[in-house]
Amino acid sequence: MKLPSFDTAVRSLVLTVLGATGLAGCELWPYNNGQYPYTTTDPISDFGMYTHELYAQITWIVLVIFAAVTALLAFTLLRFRDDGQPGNPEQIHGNTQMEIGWTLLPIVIVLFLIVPTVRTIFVIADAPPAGAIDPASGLVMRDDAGEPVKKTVEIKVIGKRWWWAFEYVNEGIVTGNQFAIPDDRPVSLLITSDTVIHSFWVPRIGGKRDAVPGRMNRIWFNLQQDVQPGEVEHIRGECAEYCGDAHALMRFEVIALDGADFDRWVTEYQAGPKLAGDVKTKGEAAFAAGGCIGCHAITGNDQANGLQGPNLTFFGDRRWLAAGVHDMYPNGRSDATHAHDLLTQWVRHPDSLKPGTTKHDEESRALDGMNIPVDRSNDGILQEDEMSTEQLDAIVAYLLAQTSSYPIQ
Amino acid sequence: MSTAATNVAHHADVEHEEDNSLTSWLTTVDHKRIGKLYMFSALFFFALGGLEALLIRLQLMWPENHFISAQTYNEMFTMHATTMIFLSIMPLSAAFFNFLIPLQIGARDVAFPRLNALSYWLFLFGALFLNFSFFFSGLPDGGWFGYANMTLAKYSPGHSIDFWILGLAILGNSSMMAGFNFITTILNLRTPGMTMFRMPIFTWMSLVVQFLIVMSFPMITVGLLLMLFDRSFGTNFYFPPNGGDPLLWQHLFWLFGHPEVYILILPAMGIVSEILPVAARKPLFGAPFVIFSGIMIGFVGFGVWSHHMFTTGLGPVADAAFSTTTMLIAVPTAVKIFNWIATLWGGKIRFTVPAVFAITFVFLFTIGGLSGVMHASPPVDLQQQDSYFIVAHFHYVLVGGAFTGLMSGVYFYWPKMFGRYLDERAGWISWVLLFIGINLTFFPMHFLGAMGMPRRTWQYPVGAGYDMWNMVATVGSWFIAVGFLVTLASAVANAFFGKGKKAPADPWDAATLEWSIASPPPHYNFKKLPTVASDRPYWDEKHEGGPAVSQEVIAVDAPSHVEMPPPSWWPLGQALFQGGFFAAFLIGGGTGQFDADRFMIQLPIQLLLAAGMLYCMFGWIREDARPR
Repeated sequence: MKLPSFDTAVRSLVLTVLGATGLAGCELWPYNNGQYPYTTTDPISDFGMYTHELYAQITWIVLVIFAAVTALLAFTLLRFRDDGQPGNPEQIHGNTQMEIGWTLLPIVIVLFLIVPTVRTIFVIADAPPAGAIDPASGLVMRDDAGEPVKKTVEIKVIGKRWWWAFEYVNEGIVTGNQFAIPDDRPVSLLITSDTVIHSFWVPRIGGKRDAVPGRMNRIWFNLQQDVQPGEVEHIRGECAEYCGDAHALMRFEVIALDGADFDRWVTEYQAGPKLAGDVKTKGEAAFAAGGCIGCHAITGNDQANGLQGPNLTFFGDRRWLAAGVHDMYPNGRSDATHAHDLLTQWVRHPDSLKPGTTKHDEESRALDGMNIPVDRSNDGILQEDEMSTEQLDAIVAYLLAQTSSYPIQ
Repeated sequence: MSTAATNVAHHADVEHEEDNSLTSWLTTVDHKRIGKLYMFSALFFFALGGLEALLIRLQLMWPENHFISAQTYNEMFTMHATTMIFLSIMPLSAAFFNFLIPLQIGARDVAFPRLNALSYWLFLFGALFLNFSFFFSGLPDGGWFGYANMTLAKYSPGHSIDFWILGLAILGNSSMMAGFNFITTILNLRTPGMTMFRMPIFTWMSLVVQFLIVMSFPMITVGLLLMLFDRSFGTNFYFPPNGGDPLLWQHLFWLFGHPEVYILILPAMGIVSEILPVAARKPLFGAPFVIFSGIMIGFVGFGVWSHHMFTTGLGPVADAAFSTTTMLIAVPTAVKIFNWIATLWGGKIRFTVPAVFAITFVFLFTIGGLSGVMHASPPVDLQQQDSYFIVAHFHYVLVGGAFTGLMSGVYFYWPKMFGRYLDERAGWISWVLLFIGINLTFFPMHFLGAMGMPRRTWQYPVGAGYDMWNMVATVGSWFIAVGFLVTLASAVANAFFGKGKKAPADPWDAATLEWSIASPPPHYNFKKLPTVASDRPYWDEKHEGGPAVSQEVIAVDAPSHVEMPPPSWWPLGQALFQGGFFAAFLIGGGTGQFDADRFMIQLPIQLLLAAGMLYCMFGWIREDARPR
């Protein structure tokens, strides 16, 4: 038999090796949190780790199969090239033993995939415990009255067009596009939507769950990373289900806090921001006169209790504008000018920062029969005669001044 | 109506000059011509869908790019998928069904030649109708999966989604007609001696696909109708505030959508199963197992739809069940791959252009198949669903698989269809560019998915680490574009400008009946129907001393002309009225409420069009379509 030509051999082998290593790199690439804030391969919760373990296991099995099949194919192509000799090869029609063999082989491999898969499905589908587990006894830690010492934090996640609302079920706190979680007790998220279907995805916490109107999905987890007191761990999340114009611009941030810090965060958010002086009086007046109160709520401002838009309590805590899209403090917290300008632009002409915003505004207002004095009739721009610079400045200052003791760096 | 055409070309003599007038093409009922119409329509829409893909890739070249607007981007990915699935891969498969099935089973045409013409014209109208929304209300922007409730009138006012719904309904109608036609053809028109297990594998895979089509398209049609009712008449099938359930749409859609995946891939598998044995100069290894695994894939394919819905929260029992059935599909798929390799094993492989495309299919499809096994596991899928990992997976299956397999078919069957080889050098250049391009574009998407990049996103942020691989993918997309254009240019030059080397009847030394007649085949295909005694009748005649099947041997004493069905205007007329009937739903649609005023305009127009349909039906029945 004539040997395959050198170039064919090299070409096939190079392709094989490249393909195999490429696929390997896919999962084993160190997509760490530092460079890849949305990475799926650097989980920080137990929920994410269950998935990741299975993910890695299946990836390895698949890689081995791929390498074997490719090697077999490459060898066959090299070994059985047409040698130019007359005559046809032996006409083999098949072999039943071999067929049975290579039917059973994938069945066995599939069993190795299915068993751990089903186990993991049921592990992550378990209901959350009532509170943090005592590692010594394996039971929920309870006080003398039988109440959990560190009660599971329940948060209702609601997908909107195109932002997220987070409602703390027991604490009575509502936030928009950013929420805090403790590192010392279970967190249970109840995911739904009151608009179209979205998908709530924080890759580092774990897999996504769809936010389906009329349904409630749950994921729950314990953070596996210990956050130091006074520090904040930022975890980025995003919408994963196509939901219209600004689907790509529907992100959010989870801020993980030390347990004691989280308790203080809750107390502060329940009380609302403590503002005084001109910022408060002028700001509240402008916020009401501008019609903002029709859609936005702010704890401590009795006039502002709208439910259509994001809750703006402690807006100054937020780093990102327009649902995790625009960094308000790219030069650090000390540079407040950028935040001021960006927020001004956002109120004046939101579509320039996030397409589709006013379109949906108009839609929901028309459909819900609301009559709000904000008028962006001129190409979606809030003109000077509709809101004066002075008034807008007061609103922006009022919002940015609302910081808690956990401002975002 | 038919009188003008009836006296043309139905007496097909051996020396008969092909009538190439426009009328002859508009009234044709010849399966080979309809196959060519499908093929060129499909190639055109491939180019269009590819253009849309290039715009998508250009937009994603940089982070936070503003090359096209979010609205345009959403329209582009919706139309790219819709075009590639319904207007490119399916009709290119249909081109091969039409051209090959009668030739492979030794028939002179399909069972219902006029119905076949109607299928094509309906397809063309549906395809144009979908794209015409560009001129009226903007292209559809709801995704090819059109998830309710976003596609309802509240969130998608205007008519673009109506265009999408009605376009798909027309296309589904066309596919179902073709499906029944081919099932009847395959079951009834086989030449003497052609038992089911002597049928070529491509015909077998086509048969499975036709059953998938006729069983899955009704489900999406129901889903689409309910959506149309929600949008036009204010019903509440999918509208949650009034008790509807958006997941109902997902179930109906994926009950169709998953078999659809096999509708796209099985024809390519059939073609590859024809080409690999010819390339290796051996029979297909374990042909019955390849056939049964194809049937198995089609069968189990109906029981896996919910793996598209693992993230919707169906509960652990459903997740476990659908995960298991999905993984089981890997078994017949693996059987096929092993049999293809075993076919090559021990052969004398000739690396012709179609053979190389077919082998590439096996390699690339394996990658797509294996990544598919990964997200068959629901916990893993929770991280991969709706991320670029999925985009990578199904592009390996559909571009690396279906598209590459169909390309191998184009190069393999072109000489039979047009009597001339496609240019070999162009074929090699095209292959190299496509192979580099497909891997360069789609492999990095695995990485992007692992980095958490969601699908269908107009922009990605700076600092997410997505920059480099997106740029690589964008560069790769141009390799695919140029690679495809090389083949397209070579095909156009060949078919319309007479370029290319003349091909003999049997250019590849193949085994099945279609190669035993002239290239291109005469209007009547077989002057005398052959009697076959094995699954490789022509090979056996040439190499094993088997009974003769080729026309030059068996048809020497055959009569000088063969009677063929005459051309007809009725299919085109019927398609026009039917297309118009569907289109008229636009008048009342899109508001989410029943609008009596608009409905009173829509109703008489539709009644008129329905009368037109009845008129065409009546003419169709009355027409003397017996072979003359």
